[in-house]
Amino acid sequence: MRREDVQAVSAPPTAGHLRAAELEVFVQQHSQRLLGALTLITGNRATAEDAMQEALLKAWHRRGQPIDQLIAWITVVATNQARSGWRRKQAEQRALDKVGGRATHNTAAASEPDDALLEALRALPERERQVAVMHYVLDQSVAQVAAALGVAEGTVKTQLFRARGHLAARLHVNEHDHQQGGAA
Amino acid sequence: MSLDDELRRRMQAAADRAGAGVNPGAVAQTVAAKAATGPRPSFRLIGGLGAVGVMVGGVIGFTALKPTESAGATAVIVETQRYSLYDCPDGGLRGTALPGDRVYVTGRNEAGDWLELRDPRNQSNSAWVPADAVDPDAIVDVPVVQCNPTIELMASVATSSTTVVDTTTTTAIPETTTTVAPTTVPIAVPITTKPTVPATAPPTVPLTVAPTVAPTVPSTVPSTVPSTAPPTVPPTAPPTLPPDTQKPTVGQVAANPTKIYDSSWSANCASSSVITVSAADNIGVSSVQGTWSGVAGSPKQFVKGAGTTWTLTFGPFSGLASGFNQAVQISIVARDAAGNASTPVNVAVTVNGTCLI
Repeated sequence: MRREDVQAVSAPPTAGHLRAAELEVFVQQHSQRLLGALTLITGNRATAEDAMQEALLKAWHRRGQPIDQLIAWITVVATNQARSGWRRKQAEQRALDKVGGRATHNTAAASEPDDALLEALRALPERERQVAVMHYVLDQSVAQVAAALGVAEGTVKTQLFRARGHLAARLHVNEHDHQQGGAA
Repeated sequence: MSLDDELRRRMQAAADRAGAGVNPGAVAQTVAAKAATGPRPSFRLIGGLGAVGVMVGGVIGFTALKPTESAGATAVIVETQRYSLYDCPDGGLRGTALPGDRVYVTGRNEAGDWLELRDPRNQSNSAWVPADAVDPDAIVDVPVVQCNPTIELMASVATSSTTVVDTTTTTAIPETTTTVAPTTVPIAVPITTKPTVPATAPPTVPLTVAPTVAPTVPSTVPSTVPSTAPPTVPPTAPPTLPPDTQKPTVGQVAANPTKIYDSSWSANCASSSVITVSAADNIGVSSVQGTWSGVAGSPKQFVKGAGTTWTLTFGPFSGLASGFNQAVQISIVARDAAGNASTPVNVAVTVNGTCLI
């Protein structure tokens, strides 16, 4: 999915207040990529699923207030939700695992996992990982990421620069072998 | 292909794999079902500071309102735990927010990982708390502010006799017993006042006069307390002790065991490690905190043990990827009541996502 696709689909909620049909369309069109992005950020599919649902619910409850860039907003809220709910979920997760209540999602089943990339992402500080995923996976511009996180664009640029450097080093990609395309 | 393109291609492919199998219809149905039960109960304000709030929330430590729902500040209430408050992000320890305290979020730092609050012990001062203690919604809504530590000369008074427990219901003001020096009546007349704020009822002052006292009270003894009279605070001499500038010290750090595993694998695999430190200070260590990155739960306070010993249970962690294998550096800092922080001391515990027995 390219950046213009994301913007086109999320444009109606951006322009005004979220409506039920728009939320449904958003879920239909973005849930796989969004869930994947959240899984990369949180490192856990089950946590990402719960966080995405909570964020969508919050978006629904805020339907009286306009939300700029819905996909970025949901990513940020879901990441925060995952972070804050981590400890709460631990006991429940352990219990469910013991009785087999939650299906185990083997994300590697579909195709060969990019272990090196996952390992490199996991090694990033959380905020760098979040910024990198929002930018590279969700095709959010620096300005959009900054707006969603409520920080200055320079802060996002710095974090993105560091994330890119860390990823390049861990993936053994020589940054100088590539022509940089720019972060914005 | 540029590095950005390479990263974009691989990360989007990884995300698509990670998100494969999701059922959008089921997600939408789940959200709709939850939405049908109504909005999550939240802590509501009527008016601005000092209004009545009702809290039912579902967050870790604080529940927050949106700034638009109050008078320029987000009201939060401390729920089940106590939280340390700091002068500034990563600054000195300022005090503690206790369960039941109502505080107001007034801003955040640029990185969004610390929030500025009104100090619940002295609402005219600000304090900072790590953002992960607060409802995540507040993080994106409050304005960015710079840390401007407030000089608190009467900290001891603010935390004892004039503690404002909850300005929304009753303002607790200690009983004040005034002994009036004898003038025309040769005995002391104790006056017990119980001021109430706001002055909805006339603040009458019961006079207790000994039977032998003349029936007229001297004019120098006021029979009523003006409703605008501020609560009387016993005069307190300013502290004359020199400020405590000596840092605490942390020594003898130990982790047992030094390698732990995802708790969901097996009960036979250690899923938590006990970190033990000894911390000392010329006045006294008020808190010891461990911070780390790479796994959840940071920062976390150590628990005071016997003597100078403080302990922290690191872990358990669940839901880690099977390939997770990381030596987590736990940075330990001790603080005293004056806010002096020790030099950080590190200890490493390896966290593994897989435990093969």
